[in-house]
Amino acid sequence: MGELWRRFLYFINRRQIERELEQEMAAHRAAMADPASFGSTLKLREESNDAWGFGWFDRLHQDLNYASRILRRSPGFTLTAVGVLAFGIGLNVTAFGFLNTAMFRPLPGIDNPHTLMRLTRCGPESSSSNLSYPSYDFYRRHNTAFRSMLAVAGGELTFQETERWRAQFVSSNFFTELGAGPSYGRLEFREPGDIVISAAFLARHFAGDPAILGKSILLNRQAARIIGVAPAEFIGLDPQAPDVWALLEDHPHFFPQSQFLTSTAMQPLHLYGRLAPNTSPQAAEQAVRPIVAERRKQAPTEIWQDEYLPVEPGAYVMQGSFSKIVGPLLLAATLLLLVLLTACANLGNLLLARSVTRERELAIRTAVGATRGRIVRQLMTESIALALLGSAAGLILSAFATKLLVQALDWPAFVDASPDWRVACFAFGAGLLASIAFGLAPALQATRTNPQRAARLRLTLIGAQAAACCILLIISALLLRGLNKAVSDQPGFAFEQSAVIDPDLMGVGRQGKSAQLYFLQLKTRLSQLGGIEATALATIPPLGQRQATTLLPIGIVLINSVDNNYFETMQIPILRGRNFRPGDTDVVILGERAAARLWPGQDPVGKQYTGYRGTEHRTVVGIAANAPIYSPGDPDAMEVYKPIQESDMQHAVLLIRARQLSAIQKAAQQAANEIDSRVIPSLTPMRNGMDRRLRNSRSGALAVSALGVVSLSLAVIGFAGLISFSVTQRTREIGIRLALGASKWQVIRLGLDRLMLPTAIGLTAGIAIAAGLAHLLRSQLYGLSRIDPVSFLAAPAIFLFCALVASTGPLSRAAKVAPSTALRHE
Amino acid sequence: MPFDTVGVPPGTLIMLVLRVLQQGSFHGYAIAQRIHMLSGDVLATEEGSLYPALQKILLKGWATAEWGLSESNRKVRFYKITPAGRKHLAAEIKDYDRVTTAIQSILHPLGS
Repeated sequence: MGELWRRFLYFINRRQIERELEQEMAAHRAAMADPASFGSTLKLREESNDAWGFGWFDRLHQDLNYASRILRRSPGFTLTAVGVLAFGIGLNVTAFGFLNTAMFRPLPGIDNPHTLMRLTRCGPESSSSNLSYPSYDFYRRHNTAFRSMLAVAGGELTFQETERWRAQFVSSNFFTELGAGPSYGRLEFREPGDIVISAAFLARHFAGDPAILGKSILLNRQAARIIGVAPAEFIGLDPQAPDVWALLEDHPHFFPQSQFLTSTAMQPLHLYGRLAPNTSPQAAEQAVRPIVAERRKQAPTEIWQDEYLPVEPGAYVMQGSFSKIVGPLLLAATLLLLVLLTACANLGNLLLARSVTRERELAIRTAVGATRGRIVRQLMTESIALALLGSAAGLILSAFATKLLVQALDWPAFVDASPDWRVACFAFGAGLLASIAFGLAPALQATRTNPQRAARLRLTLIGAQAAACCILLIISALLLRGLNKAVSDQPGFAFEQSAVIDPDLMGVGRQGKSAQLYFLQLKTRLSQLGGIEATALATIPPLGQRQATTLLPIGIVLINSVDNNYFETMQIPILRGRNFRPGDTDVVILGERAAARLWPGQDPVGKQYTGYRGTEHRTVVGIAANAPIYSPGDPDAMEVYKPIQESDMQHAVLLIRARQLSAIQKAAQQAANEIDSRVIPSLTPMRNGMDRRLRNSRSGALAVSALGVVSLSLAVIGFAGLISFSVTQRTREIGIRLALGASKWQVIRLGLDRLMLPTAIGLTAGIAIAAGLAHLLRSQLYGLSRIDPVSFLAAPAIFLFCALVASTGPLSRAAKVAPSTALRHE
Repeated sequence: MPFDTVGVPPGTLIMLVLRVLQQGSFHGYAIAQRIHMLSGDVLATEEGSLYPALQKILLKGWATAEWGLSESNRKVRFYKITPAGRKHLAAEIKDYDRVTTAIQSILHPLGS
């Protein structure tokens, strides 16, 4: 310890100690009989100081000084290099910044975010993020692993018949457990109908006037009172911040006869827990297992066999089910790293070319006694200096890009995507790695005197760039063509003038016969409206957020319970067999693909269909054309239709197809409300769902295309630069060849010849890797053909074309070489 | 440099310096002088190794240095041994004795 301390003191007072040592030596020298024999005080002093072990520091200082001088002296090179790096690093930093915001940066206004956990449900065949109130209540009462449990359910409350407020129903401990104190009033639900509003909503809706506190209003035609305003930064646990919070147990107050608190069929709750002190998430997960098993005995229909609740961080934008996003994340990371790789390869080539011009300088340094290690270290210091500059520029670039993106993506206002220390560390870490990637090989090369190997390294780097660029181009071509297909293709069902009316009958407690009656009345009312061509009942609305699936031996199929008007309404042709008939129960209609997979090459009509875990048996009565209503364009989607039963009616929605949807929208909504005044129906055009899906694929395709273009320009610039470099280097040779009668074409071929093989190898490798990645992508985006020949051929062709166009400049320079001047060329 | 002097054997310089300092505080030149004198004019300390050795002694905390005036009224640095230095010296001497005894017994076996 003492030694470290002395070392530290030495480091602090280095300059003074060195001066003292010099004085001491001078005195020694003066005292000697023969002062000349003392030797060089300077050398001695350096050797003495080495005892303290800070020699490296001085050398680093020296190298940095030297590097900065070198970089300043060639501003063109430095700017190019920093620019290239800033792009490569900036892209990765931007992507990491978003990941950081979603996964590592807690939601604002939450106390001890790291101990707040989200619990989701996981079984051998299914997973879900939601559970029912009775199950939550059971877990809460039997909980041993958590200090407390919280539950949240999303919903809407209607103010003055027309205005819809985004609501969240929360457990009574919600605000206290998250550590939010009121900015006005209290955050404690006492009377039925008490609600808390968000600060943003107060500002937006009540002009920021806290006089609204304590006022009685009507929500869903029920008495409600605003008792408090949440703190400004607090948005709860959902990034889509709600306008109001109400008590879970008040759900029946706002939705009379709602079965929210009693039904296990309704599963609207998100479950959270505060870890008890010194409990790990893993331990908590184990402790919850037996409680879930116990609960299954009471609610065997809701709780799956062998179900458990994964415990994952809950106070972040991204909550639970992390395993699901690993695939897309890896893919995105791969594509982004490819851009950085092109940048590094490009820069590596630039450095190699430079080292040729610095041969003389390096030779002098070697001659005066620098070892190879010393020179490599100095060159690496230059690379690291470049990388750090690039990182800083990349960080600035990404801060701007993030700001623009957040605006373009219309993220909720609270999301703070500005860079923090994690992003900065990432940027400089990426820079350091990049400096090794682009700097080490050229540095080692520069200290060797083997031009053959330098040439080989250059060609390898060109190959790597071609490969990386080819992958990005192919992936973006696949995405763009997939998107194009999704836009132009008919999805297989009529959605343009169709809409979904969701009366949420369960919310008002209508089920079975009562729900059926409601729909009957609604259909009658709508038929009187005119302008509606067809109506049908279904449990899963097309292009909505809901989906129901089951696992069959052939894979996951989408289940929908529909009435006999469904196929006519959605204009899905029945290809074989028959439609459902009233009174059908144990029958099933299969989508074409599901049928073909279950019984390849056979007629499926009349066969026995075995559903959920082999416990459900139905007769196949018909085959419908493929209609992937959840993921349009998905070439793997399979549908299974069951006849809708009375017991399904509480979940059902009414689908309508109109001649002109916009003309009847309002009237239809009104009709749905007039039949039962408690019902506040939503009417969603299917077009909206389609647009939302396309928007997602569009931004994905655009992002990857941008990467492709960046990497293409980098690679092409590198390509042209290399040709230009080799033309300059070989001017004399070209001159001799021209003088000896070579044609211009032969000279041009001379410039290209050696690049052909590495480029071809690079492109081939790129195609192979892209084929592998495309396989991964297929499950992420719709309408993508895995081996789309157009994409796979177009991408390398584009690369070659651009590379050739970019090379025309230096090549024509080669062809224009005049033999006489060339021979005089140095 | 006269012919009859030899350099300090490698690895022993720190021990010799500490041994000298055990007798009192000395400055660099005086330490070299004393080593030369005490060794019967045999050992000559090169400045090239003395100062690195002194720096190492300071680093290890075996001695401290203080500015003072020399006999000739020059500003010089006096080195003063610390308890840690004494302890280290004792250990070094013990080790050294064992090694020299061992070497002696090889060079001059008892039987011969």
